[in-house]
Amino acid sequence: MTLVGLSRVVGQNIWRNATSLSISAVGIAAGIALFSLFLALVEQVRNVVEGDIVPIDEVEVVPLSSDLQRMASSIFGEDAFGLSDDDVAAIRRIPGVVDVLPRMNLNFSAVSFGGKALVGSEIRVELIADGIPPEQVRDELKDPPLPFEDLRGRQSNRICRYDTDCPRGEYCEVRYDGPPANQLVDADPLTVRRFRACALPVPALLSRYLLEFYNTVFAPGHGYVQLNEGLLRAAEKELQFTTRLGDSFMGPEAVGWRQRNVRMQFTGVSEKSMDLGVTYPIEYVRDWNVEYTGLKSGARYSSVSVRAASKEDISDVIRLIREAGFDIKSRIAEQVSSMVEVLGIILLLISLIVITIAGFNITHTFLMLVLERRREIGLFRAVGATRANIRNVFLLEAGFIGLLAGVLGLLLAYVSSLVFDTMLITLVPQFPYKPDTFFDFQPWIVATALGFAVVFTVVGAFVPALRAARLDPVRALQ
Amino acid sequence: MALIEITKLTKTYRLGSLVTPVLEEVGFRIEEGEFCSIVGPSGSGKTTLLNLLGGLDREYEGSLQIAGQEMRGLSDRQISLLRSRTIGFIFQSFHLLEHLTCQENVMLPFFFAGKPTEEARRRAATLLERVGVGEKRGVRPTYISGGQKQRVAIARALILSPKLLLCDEPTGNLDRETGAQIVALFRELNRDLGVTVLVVTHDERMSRVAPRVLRLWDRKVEDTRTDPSRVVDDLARASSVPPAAGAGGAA
Repeated sequence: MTLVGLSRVVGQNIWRNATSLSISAVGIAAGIALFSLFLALVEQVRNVVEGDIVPIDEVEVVPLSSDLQRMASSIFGEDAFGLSDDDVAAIRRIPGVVDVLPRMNLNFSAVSFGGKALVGSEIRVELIADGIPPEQVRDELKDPPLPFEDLRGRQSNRICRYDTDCPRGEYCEVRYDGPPANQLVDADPLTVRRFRACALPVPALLSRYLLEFYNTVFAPGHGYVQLNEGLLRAAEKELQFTTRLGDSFMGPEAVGWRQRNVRMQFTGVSEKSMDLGVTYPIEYVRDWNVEYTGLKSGARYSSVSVRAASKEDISDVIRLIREAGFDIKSRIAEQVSSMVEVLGIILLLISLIVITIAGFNITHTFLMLVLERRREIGLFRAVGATRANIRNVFLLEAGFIGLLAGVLGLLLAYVSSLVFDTMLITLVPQFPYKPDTFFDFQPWIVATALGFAVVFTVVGAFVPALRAARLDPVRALQ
Repeated sequence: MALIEITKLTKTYRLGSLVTPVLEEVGFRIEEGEFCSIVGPSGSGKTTLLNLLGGLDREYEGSLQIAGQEMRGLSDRQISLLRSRTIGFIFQSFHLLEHLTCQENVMLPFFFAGKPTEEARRRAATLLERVGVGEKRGVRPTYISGGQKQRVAIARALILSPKLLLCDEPTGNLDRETGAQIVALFRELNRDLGVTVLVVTHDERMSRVAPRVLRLWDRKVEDTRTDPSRVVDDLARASSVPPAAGAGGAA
């Protein structure tokens, strides 16, 4: 039997039994709608969680934090803390690692204030900051108001009294000469020279996470203007904040008398910036650490962000990093990812149960059809149809129904997703990382849904098809 | 080589402990191009014999060969191929599919034979013309008369040019006049196309029309040949012709 002939017979059968077949296809369509909707939801959650909030192909490598390590540090001094340049080089050599970003935390307290011109009120916050090598974000930042790099080589360093004494773009900065601040507890303040010199603002980066946090939690609570990347770019001049090094809102600082102000200029939003803090070019952080806590802390990295070639490589990379004697900081991504996986599996199971029940309904419908078409099956056999022909007529019929149910299910899912999106976007209040859509219908989801629809319908119709094929033609014709 | 060759054919129905013999050691040969009728009272095993000849029922003892092939030994695929190429079925209740047009009904065996649709369409149109219902080809069977339905069924049986037409009570659902027309058509097809026609009927008038009559009686077959000069084409006239004297012998 040719495929054209088979299709003709099947097409005529479907047309004739359209009502009963569509009723049984509705079950499959509903199951497929749930199936694809859940998959699209999980996919979008995964996109947001793993792509924006916690990149799943990235880990943060830190020194081993065992008690033994701490003990060694206390005995041998600060040098045992953090990661050295050699450590960074060793991590860079691990197979599967494509990008290594050494980070250095600001190891002393500081506060930041400013932003009145932009948001309507002065923001004052305890500063959490770190430093990264500027070349890591060079390609990412488009036309920044100030290059994200160590600008001290370009500034005039002219001795000044006021900002107006400085060239355009520079400000008059307080500086100290002398030993590091933490070694000056009992030292005579007179041994330290305080002077002012012209300097360029320190370029700083924000993270999308921080911006999102500010917009959804901080700004509404304080009545501040919400910010976005476009607004930040437009308002670059107003984005100068003052940072008071050595100060804290938390309590008195030992180096309080050596506090000094530096001005910082936001130059952009970057994924490489720390989540809840500000990121500077690493040279500034290194020098400030030396200035406030001594030489040794300036020579060590607090952590290294490692990016793997792909999500699939990350577990191997983690294993190799651990084998090389380093530790991985908080695997939130792993935990969130497995939570999403579990949620996805539960939702998929629910939809699979629905499709299975619909499959049984298909079995029932096709058994009825076999009964209804007994004589016809007998006739087919009499005019030369083989058992396989009869079976294939029913299976192809089921396949078509499955495909139609699959398409219907996907349409249903898509329409439902639009309804859900509209409801969730208008009714649910803004929260960090709230996406524009909660569903991502990837091509593989569409293909899998259609495949499942066809497979479940064909499997459902298999027993009736076999029964039809085995009908005794003599009895069937009676 | 005979088209049909039956030797010591025995058919018994078994239902639990109930054993019903229908045919006992029956034997006959039918050559290509013959026109035979199988007559007998109800329950004499006419349809059973026809089902055996058509390979729809393959549980028997003895030997039954169609075109030289023993039916019992064939696979499902082989028997389907044999039915498709060699045998055309015509039923009392026509078995036309109501959801198809007359032409599509005629084309049906073509689909299972794996032949192109265009050829099927062309042949179906020609055959419908040939059997006298050319103008009904686009009509569904619901809207045509019993006689026309049977003509469509005959066209369907002929579409793959079979050597053998097996007709099970083809006039059973028709009035006398229409029945006579259908039988005349069989005679015509037998004469013009050379197709072997085997008509199962309980209508005794058939013995006047068919040159050869296989009379089923008491599980046996009585093979009777009519004197060619006494054979009439028209079943309507058959009742006025005196019964033929047996020219053959009982098998």
